[in-house]
Amino acid sequence: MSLSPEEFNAIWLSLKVAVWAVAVGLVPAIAFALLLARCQFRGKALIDAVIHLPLVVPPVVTGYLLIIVLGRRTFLGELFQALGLKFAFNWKGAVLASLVMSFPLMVRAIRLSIEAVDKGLEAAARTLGASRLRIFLTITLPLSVPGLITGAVLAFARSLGEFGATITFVSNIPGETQTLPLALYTFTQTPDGEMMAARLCIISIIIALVALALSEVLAQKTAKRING
Amino acid sequence: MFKRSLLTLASLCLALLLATSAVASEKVYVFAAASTTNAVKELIDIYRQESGSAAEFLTSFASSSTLARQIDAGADANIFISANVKWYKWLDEKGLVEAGSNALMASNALVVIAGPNGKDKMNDIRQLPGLLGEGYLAMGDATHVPAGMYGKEALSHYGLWESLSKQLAQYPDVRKALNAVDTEQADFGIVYKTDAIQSKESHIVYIFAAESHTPVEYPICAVKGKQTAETKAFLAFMKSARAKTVLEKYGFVTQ
Repeated sequence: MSLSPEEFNAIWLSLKVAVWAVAVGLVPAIAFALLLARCQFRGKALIDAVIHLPLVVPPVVTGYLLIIVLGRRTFLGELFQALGLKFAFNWKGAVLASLVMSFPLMVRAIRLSIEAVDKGLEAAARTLGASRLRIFLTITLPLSVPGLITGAVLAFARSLGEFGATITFVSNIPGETQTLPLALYTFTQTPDGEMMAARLCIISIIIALVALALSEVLAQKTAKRING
Repeated sequence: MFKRSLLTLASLCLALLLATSAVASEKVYVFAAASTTNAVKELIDIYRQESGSAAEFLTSFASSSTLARQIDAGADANIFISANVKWYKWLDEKGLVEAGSNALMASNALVVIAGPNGKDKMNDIRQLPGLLGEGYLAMGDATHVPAGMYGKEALSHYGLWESLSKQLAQYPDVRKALNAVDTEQADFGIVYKTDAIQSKESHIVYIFAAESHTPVEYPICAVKGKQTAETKAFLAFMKSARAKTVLEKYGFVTQ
């Protein structure tokens, strides 16, 4: 099975978008997970709700909100363009859509992992004079690695499958914003596009299985290291 | 004793079932192209008022391609209104159109629109690439959405398709393309005249000449085996002078 240039473009773009969405989102996700797991403050429930919003509202709504907040002629949109970040009809906009959609999944997984870390270990480190940053970097973070992996894999998978927010926010431009699900959708809509759609279906399944297998191997290795 | 009460209960249930099925009104499913949304909604309201029909009308508005495929897959549609002849024929070739039920509901014009802060008028479509600059032109997906297919024909007619291909934002239905211009994501858009008239934000800057693209025609038909007295009456109403005035109010052209 050799790939047509259109299929190759869609696959390459999907992988690029998903990797970027996870890469950009990981550090903020850790920060928010830590905030929600370890801190008590006013408005915590509100932050929690806002982060989870994309998980609950229809993706098309998320895409529409992105247009309203970060569209080409909005204040924030123009600010980002001045900084050289163009979102409208651009693959970076697809990354943003995937990032927003997958962010709650990352935060959730990492937060659960942090909450499971034994607070006694952190307290012991503090009595020995370790700084907060050092405790986080040498105890909390390493022990949360399984959650980090789960979160990253979930976010990667969600980004690969992202459809509604992407097509609403950045349209369906081959080679620029036409990711795998968008290409698949286009083929299902075209008369006689069934064969092409079936091919992309198979490709999607293969990518998903490979990603899951990789994450499984990674998770087992880290579990071994943590449990000695 | 127990047996008797059980029997009473069973007969009660049966009576209830029969009663509800007698009272339940007929349901008419209308699958219509997205570009006809407002007009068809109003037409259904008027039809129900004037005929006093007790039938419940349920509508599904999407791109003609989506609807045709859903009907082919066995969706419960009674009436199909397509935004182009191609998808109607596709359904007809599959034997899914009730013979003799089809008619031409209306036709439409294809226009170029600009957003709230966009240009007022364009005398020649060949000015479009210059006016567009680095911006984007929103339209229906040219591979399958009728509005996009007509748009591609019209742009090709003037030799603009190739040069603009990198600046096209193609959407899964024409209303999303309109929305992209309304929200100023795209500078210009190609939509139907009827959509442009309804938009409060965007305005028409150019109307494509009729010879630049296949006529935009809206066939209406009953789905094979789904023709009832109610759908027949509705289809007859859609051909009436009253229906035509409503369609014209929304910018459609009727014969």
